[in-house]
Amino acid sequence: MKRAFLVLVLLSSSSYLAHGDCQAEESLTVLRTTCACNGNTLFVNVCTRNINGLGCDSSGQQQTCGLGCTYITAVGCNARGPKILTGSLVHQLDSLVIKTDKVAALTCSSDNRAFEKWLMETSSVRRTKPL
Amino acid sequence: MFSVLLVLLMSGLMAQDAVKQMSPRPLKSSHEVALPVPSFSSYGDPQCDENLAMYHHLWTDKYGRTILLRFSQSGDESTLYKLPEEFAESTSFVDFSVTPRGDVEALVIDQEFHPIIFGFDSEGHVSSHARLETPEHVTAQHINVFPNGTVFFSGYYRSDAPAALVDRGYVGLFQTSGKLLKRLDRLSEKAKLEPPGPGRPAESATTIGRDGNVYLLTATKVLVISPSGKLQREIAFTKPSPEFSAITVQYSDGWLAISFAKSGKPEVLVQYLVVNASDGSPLGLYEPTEETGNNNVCFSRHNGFLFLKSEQGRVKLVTAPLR
Repeated sequence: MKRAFLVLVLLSSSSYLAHGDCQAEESLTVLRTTCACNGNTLFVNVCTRNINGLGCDSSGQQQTCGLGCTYITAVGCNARGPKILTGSLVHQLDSLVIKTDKVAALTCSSDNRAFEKWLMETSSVRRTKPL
Repeated sequence: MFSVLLVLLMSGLMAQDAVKQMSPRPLKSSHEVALPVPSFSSYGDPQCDENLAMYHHLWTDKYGRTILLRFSQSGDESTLYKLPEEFAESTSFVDFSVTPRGDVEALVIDQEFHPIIFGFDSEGHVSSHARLETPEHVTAQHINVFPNGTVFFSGYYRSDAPAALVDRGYVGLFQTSGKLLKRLDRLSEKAKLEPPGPGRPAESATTIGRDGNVYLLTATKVLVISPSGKLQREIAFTKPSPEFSAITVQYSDGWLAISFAKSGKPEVLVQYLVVNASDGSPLGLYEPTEETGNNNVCFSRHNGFLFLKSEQGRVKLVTAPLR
């Protein structure tokens, strides 16, 4: 129960930070995305043209940008892509997931280690050359 | 002359009526293969080359990061396309182009919204980059690269443009050096390009066909554009219903597949209209089923639709032939 409460607090605080708006120079766009857990197409709101924004995490289905990220739950699938780069809130949620097995529903079938390993085994390049 | 026009008009109207009367045919799986590719998330529309290698803009911590993934149909080969460090943090992803041969270009904007195009070699290394000489206040939306290297660019004027220009479309052809070859203002007016708005996906997409033409999808038609910028023809279509948005167009051997989508709960409801690219005649309306999933990544006139699914942490490809 305590753990569930903790998750709720974290989710609501991230919503408080975000408000679903993009920064002034960004565009809020409805974008097709591929969900990791079943491969299906979903529409999400994405702040595009973001250069200086903090960016957003992929654990939620709605992506909003600005000072933080918000998580909209109960949409059936959490699209957690490979974490080549991660946001701070991801780390918070990850550590929470590690500590509390009951919030495993926040995760999905995406396995970042497996993805990185597959890339290593099959990729023609893993580093970019400077121009 | 008049009779030819009348025939064209009548055939167009009859084709639209035919779509209205079509009920979508459910797509059935004919072949499924589990790949060694672990499940992943991606943004936007996946693309394919003629060997059915798939290209995705990987979902990372922010949309603006340009990390593109290619993997072969078997999943045994992959390529990661990334920008050099000095550009990765100071630019924002806009679009990418894959030619039928598998050449990859990425379109990004810098902090002043100037469009920059990056070309990659087959190993994913940046092989060229150029800032496109677009007018001030134009923001980028799509690119495609013709076989002769000419860049087709479309975008629109941002809100900081003079009032008369705000939200108006801009289309042009550019050299690979970024130099403007030709503005295509008439084409831009015909296309009625609009910036993406809130609430529904942008009804704008492009693809390049093996025939060397760019196919520019709008809410009501597909414009076929030659490498010299000439409007070859317009292919009008009727949506299955007004709630649908026209979101992607795919080309294969003289046929086009236009994807229509609308929000479902939670997943997207999709239908595909297949038309003849030479005269716009409708060939069939299709809808995905539970066994195909709704994520169509490739279209082939001969093999049908290729869908991507994820099962047990691995990517699975489902082939659904046209019936």
